[in-house]
Amino acid sequence: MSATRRLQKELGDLKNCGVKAYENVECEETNLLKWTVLLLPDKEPYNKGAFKVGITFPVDYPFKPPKVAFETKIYHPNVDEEGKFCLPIVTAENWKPATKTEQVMMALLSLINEPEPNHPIRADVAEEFQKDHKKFMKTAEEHTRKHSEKRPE
Amino acid sequence: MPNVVTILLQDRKMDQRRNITLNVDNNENIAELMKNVEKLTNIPSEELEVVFCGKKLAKSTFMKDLSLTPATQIMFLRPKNLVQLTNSKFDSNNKITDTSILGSFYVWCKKCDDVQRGKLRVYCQNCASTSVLVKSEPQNWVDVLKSKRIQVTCENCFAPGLFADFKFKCLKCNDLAAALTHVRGNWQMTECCVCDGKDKVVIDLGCNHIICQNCFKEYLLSTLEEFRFTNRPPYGFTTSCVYPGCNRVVKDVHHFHIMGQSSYSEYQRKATERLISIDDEGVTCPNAACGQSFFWEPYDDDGRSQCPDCFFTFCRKCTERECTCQSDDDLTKITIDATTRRCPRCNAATERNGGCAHIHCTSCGMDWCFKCVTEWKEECQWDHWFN
Repeated sequence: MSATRRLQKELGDLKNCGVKAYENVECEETNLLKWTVLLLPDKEPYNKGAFKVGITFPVDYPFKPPKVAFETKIYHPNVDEEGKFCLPIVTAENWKPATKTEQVMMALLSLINEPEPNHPIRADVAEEFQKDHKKFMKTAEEHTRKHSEKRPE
Repeated sequence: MPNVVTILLQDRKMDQRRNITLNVDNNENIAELMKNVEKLTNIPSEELEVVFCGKKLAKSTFMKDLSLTPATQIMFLRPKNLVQLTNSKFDSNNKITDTSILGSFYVWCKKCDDVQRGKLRVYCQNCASTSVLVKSEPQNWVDVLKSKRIQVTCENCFAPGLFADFKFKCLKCNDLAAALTHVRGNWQMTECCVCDGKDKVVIDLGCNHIICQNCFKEYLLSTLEEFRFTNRPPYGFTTSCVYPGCNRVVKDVHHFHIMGQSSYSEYQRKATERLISIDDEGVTCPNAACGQSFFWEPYDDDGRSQCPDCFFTFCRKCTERECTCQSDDDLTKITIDATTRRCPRCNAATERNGGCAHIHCTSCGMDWCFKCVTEWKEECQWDHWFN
């Protein structure tokens, strides 16, 4: 019961947070536990596209962390081909029940804007990012154009 | 509402002592109580001091604020020389004027099986009498939780160099109870940082990140599920504040009673197991149906131990009933060695059949990295999450 009340409040708060980068959030009509956020990174090479992020909340939320993954393909050293990434604040060991989805989105946005090539999930992409940055930017831009969603006006 | 109180009258002037039982009205104050005692004893009330909980009571104090029960004893003191007492022995400021301190905290009451409002009582460490006066006011929880911090003089045994013996009681049933230092009234009606609810009684670990009792209970139960309590000496296995980035911990495990009796017992059992597994002389029974933790006897040791619970006898090194440490040609052992890695804490052979490198040992509960075969660290989180 408490999960429903908190999720409703968080959903409203996120919609009205005023941060364009993650305020576009939809929740499944019949399921408050499934959200989709349209992430709008503001740094190149990702600032030309929009990326769908799926958030699945467990029934015992907020005592267990939500599962967060990209639904849109993204070419990034810290995101794998299935859209999975490692964000310490949503792992089971580090999860704190007072963490709000807005904070999770903030952390994700910062990871996308500023890749961490020293802690990669895709070693090949990280190597390219560090050794041939130009090529990386070109590939990532193309990838963004090809796979990402349209940014809302 | 009438109440019975026991009064211990210490008459130093006449060198006498007597017990008086009086019916008092909870709406009366100390001045009225003194008048009643005067009527009974003919001792002028100006010559009397009323001592309760280690301190002199102000005449304006109401009886109802003292959380009295029929077992409560109030001391009336008639000194030999009134002037001498008030001037030299005790600070005249040392009077209870704010009675809210007597009942503004909470305890875990075993009898009520619940969090209750508590009361603080002071006794003489030597004779257990309540006829004591504190020399200085307790300033914080440490002063009342640790012994030998507050000096007292005892009007009963007069022993030199005495210290106060503080005890906490449940306001509802009057039983002795454990003080819950993290539970407090929500004076400002702050919202719970988990559910946004506004409860009157909340948990605060000292960081002002308020959490209601219900959410605190849920949080503890989910921490217990995977036993994510961590060992933080001197507090023992505990958990931190629910607020992201806040590292304040629950400093007294009595708070875990809030989970309920059976979960608290489970917490105690698992914490003991965990403590044993950290110790060099501790071992966890490898019998999958058992998992009991125990200390093995270091003397006359042949490397084998018997579980005191299920009586399974095994080699502590390879955890097998028939030791396979020496045999090189055992195909089972070769296969196990080739396909598994051993938990760095309990040595359980662990096979990884998928997923990330983060292993949560189902035998001892340790979180370890399958890649570096050591405790799971932040670097593993980053570098070995996926192979």
